[in-house]
Amino acid sequence: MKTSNNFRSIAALLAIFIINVVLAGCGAKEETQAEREARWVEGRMTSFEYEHGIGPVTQEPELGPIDPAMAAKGKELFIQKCATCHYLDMKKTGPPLRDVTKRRSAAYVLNQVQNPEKMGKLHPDGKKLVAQYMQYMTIQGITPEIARQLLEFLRSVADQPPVATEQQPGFGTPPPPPDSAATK
Amino acid sequence: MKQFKLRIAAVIFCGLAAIVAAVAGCSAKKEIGGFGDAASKVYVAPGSYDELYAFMSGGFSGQVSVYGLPSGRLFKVIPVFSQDPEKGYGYSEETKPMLMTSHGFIPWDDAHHAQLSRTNDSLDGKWLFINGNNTPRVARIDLTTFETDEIIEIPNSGGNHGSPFITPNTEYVVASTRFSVPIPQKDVPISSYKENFKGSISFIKVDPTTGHMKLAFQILVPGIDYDLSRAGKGPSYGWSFFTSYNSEQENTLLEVNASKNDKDFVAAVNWKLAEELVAQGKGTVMPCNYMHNFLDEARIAKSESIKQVTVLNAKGFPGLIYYLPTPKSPHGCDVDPSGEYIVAGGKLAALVAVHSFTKMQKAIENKEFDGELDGVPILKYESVLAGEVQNPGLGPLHTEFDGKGYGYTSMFLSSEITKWKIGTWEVVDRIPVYYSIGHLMIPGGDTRNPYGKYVVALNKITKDRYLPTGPELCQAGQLIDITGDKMKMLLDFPLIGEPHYAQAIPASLLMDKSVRWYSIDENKNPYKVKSEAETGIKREGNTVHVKVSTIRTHFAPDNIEGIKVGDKVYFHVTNLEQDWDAPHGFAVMGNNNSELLVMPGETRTIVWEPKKSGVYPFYCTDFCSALHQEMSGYIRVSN
Repeated sequence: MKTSNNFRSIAALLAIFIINVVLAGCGAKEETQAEREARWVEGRMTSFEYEHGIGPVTQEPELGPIDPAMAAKGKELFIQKCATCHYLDMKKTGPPLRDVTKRRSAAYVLNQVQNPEKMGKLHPDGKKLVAQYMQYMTIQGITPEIARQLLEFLRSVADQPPVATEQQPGFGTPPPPPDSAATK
Repeated sequence: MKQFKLRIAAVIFCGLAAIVAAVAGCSAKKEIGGFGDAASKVYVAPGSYDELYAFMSGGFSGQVSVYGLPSGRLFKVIPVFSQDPEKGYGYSEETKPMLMTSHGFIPWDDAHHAQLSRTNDSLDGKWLFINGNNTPRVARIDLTTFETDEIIEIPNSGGNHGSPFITPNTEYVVASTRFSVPIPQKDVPISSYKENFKGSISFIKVDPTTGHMKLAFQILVPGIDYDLSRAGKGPSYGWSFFTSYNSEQENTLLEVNASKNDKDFVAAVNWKLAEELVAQGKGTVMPCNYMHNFLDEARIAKSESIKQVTVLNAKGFPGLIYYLPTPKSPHGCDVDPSGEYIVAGGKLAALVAVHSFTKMQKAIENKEFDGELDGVPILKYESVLAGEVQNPGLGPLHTEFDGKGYGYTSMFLSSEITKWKIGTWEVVDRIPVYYSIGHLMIPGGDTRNPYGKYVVALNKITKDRYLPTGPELCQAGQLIDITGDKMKMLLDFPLIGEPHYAQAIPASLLMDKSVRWYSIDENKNPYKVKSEAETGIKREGNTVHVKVSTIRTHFAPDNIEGIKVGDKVYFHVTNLEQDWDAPHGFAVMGNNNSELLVMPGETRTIVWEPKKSGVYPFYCTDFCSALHQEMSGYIRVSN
């Protein structure tokens, strides 16, 4: 069983290696976006894409120390665009995100938020999440700048302790009107 | 005679075909009019796009439907003059004002003539205009959103049939009154028609950037029935031409009394001159009352009441209007691509009269008049006539052009389209249609650049063409290939309501401009939310505003308490999605109102007045995701 798994892993690595060599070999001609997407549809991905997702980000960005101002802006955007479906510490419509920057690379997070449809339909890890949550992540008009700000917010919360549902950023349903006896 | 023989032959052929089919054990199919490779010419493979968008007027449904050609597939019904509970149109707070008139809220009209905007007399794909026939109105539909953006009511009109015909650069939308009425309205005996009744022709200015409509001026004209129109172009630019009937000025049993004269008129109106006269301050300001409804920048319909209009009385301004005698109760009035010929189907005549603009100008110069009607000169028929298409069929109505030198005229009574040559006026081909064709449409067939590949017959009666559906049957379009010498029948397809006129435009001019969603950041609705954190419930006396958000796959809030019997509850639903084809629906059990269908990034509001205490479910009506069934909530109502 173990051998078989190992064999599969080796075969998979070999396949990735071959794809990479072939792609590198094409060097004379830059791959177009249409060609990339066609390749994804066929299930052929580079090792970078397997690890860091498919989307506009093709290399791991260099991140400096956490920028608090950018993280604050990111929190605002998280409340607007993400909190409808994500808590940090518990499952909502989608998975909890507190430790996502520890589980995943920065490039993966940036690709996931900017290219959620193809991540969910074509990327092996994305497909697993769709099968688990029975839901494609919605497209929220995330620009590279917004994606970067969201990433900064997620980095800033990664090492903080979990909090209760009511304290989750953007926790939804506000309390009923105070004047109503019927709500007691 | 030849036709008769053809029909006998067709009947015999049908009979034989039926026998052969019965013997073969398969169902009999009509072969009439079809031809061998028709299927391949209308087949649009799965996942492929149609060549053209066709905008079909919905007639008494009050709406516009959007079809693909050549497939005849229905894409969308755009609500215009009628409430549409499916979309919440005319029910939501943001759209109710669109149906306001000087008579109050009217949930219906009769929509006849679709007209696409144009620049330099070529289709520009900006807007679609359509008339409300019954309570005179003109609507403008935005062709990036396929939604009704504006409706303007027309005062001093007794029925807006001859509308909305537009000038070559969409300078004006033109509307004539079908029924003359006392202007201004007053309580007079109907038999005083000749003395008291007037017609009007309205010129609505269109802002070239925003499309906003403004009633610029009206021309008061002698009291007869005015009808369809086309604007001049090329040499005749600056003029518009209208058919008319009831030159007898009768007011009862028109089918007999208004069909006595051998000739009625085409009214030629010099709108450039009218524009100049108004600019010179020659018009008089007349009190009136009409509504102008439009979507504001927050995409909320607003109604403004307008109380005056500038009027020119045709009688006082020589050169403004001439009548061209035309046999007999003419209906359609069409201008050929060159702008020289004005074609008027003489509904009750066995010919199609074609007037020459050049001859008309000469006749005016030489004062070749044949009397006048109420101060408007009548030109001599022979002096303006270019030619007559003889024996075109029975009941000639409308003509469109292919841009290759031919006119195509619909024949209502003999159910056929007749193709004739411009200049020689000879009939070169004819094709039967099923049945009782009204308008016909060649894409761009009223412009200087027709897309002369197809003509669509818009048929009133289908009788035996489709599976029967009780007493009421569908109306239908028939797509006909006009690329060769002989017209070839390609396809039958049912249409909604009664299709009067339709227009079509190459898909390439619209599809890339189509809006996919509204930006939530640009949502200016005062009750919008940009995140779930902004949702909530606010009470103002007996009025409760609930700001609700939707996203796959939940509402926020989804448990609403604090509502009391007697409250007026406004649900302001914002769809937070920013994705294509991701609307959400919203419906509350027992609400005496429609659902809401909320487009991504948009806010729409529906009112609910609960009458009994209890707990009421609400849910998403537009299937949105695998967890759509879970997208629901409860509202508690207390005494």
